[in-house]
Amino acid sequence: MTVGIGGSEKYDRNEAYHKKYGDFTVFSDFSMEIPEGEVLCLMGKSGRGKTTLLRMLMGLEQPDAGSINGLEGKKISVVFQEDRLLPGFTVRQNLYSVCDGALQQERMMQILSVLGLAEWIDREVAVLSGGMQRRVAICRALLVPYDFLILDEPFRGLDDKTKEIAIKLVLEEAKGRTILLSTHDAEEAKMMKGKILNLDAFLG
Amino acid sequence: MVSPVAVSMRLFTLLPDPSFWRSIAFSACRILGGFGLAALLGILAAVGAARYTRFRELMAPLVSVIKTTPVASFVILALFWFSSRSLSVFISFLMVFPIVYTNILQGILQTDTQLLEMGQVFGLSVKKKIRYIYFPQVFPYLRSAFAIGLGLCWKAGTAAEVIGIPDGSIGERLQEAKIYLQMPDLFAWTVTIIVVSLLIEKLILWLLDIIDRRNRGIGKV
Repeated sequence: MTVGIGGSEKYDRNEAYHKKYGDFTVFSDFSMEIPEGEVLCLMGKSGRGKTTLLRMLMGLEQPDAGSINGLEGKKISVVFQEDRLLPGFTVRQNLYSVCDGALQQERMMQILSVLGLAEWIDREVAVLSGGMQRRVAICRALLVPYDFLILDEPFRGLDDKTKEIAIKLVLEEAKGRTILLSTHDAEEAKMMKGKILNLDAFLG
Repeated sequence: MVSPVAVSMRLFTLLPDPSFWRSIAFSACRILGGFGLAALLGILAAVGAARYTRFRELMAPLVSVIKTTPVASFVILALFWFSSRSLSVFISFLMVFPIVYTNILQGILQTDTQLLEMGQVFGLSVKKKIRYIYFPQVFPYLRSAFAIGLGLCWKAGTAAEVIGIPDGSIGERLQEAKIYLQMPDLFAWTVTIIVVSLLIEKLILWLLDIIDRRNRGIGKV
């Protein structure tokens, strides 16, 4: 089912999405749809509300008015803007912590190998470089069972070659599932081969 | 004053005496009993206070009163309520409870909200949240509370025993040393308290570190 923000398939002003922080209006009469099984790239300047929108989809923010449809019973996975890895734990434990017994060893090793992390699996995440920690966060998001993948600037800090490998892996692993990507990088959005929604144009 | 040699000699004569060990066991059981009770209730109260703001507001004045009331006042009050044998349990409890409560509450409130959000989105169970998010973040606060609390409970516990003079306690032996002006005894018992207190502190902190290492799965998943 399509995920609808600010109403379902048809725009209904009564269900339109509103969000304010104090006097600052982030969204007013906002409505959008994320088609099932497709990639949607959210672009726009800083402060346009990309992260707010993603946080709302994750259930971490509540709109002042409006609703979200189509997420009922769906499993969400996410790469946050920050790595949000468990400090003091190894790469393996970080992956096990979210997988609840559903983690297949072989698949985990395969994904880690593609991202160049296989030999780091039993090292504490704190000893990994920033780029490696980012890759662990991507790996975690791909290994957890999900229907809807949210990516908030997931490739930030990765060099071009690693970024290309990571994007290819994400597209392969999440094939057929809905992906919502937030990015500033037009090239990244192009490589993800999805529809682009520019919040700058949308919100005026 | 008394020479270190005289104190050492006295200690050597005390060591083979069963009543020396009985006094240590008597006081240690009660002081550590109070410590254990305070640690348990302090942790539970801190969890409740972190969860319920009303409860935290109710606890705040109570903890402030316990922290600021002189130990001697509590000891005298306690002598009206309990037998002198239970005195050091109560005093030790009162010394440690506010430290454990305040530290653990602080630790829980300081828990990284980004990690908590991560746990929420990935649907981590309560058990996993405690193991992977709360425990590692609260652990340094817990360790520090235990390190401070263990030293304090021995100080206050033996002071209470000196006032209450329960039979067979370290406090009674200190009081006797004072009455009969036995300086070697006084120093020998003081050294004993310091050594026992330090050993128990090291042991408990070592056990805590093992729990932390096990939680982080060092050597296993």
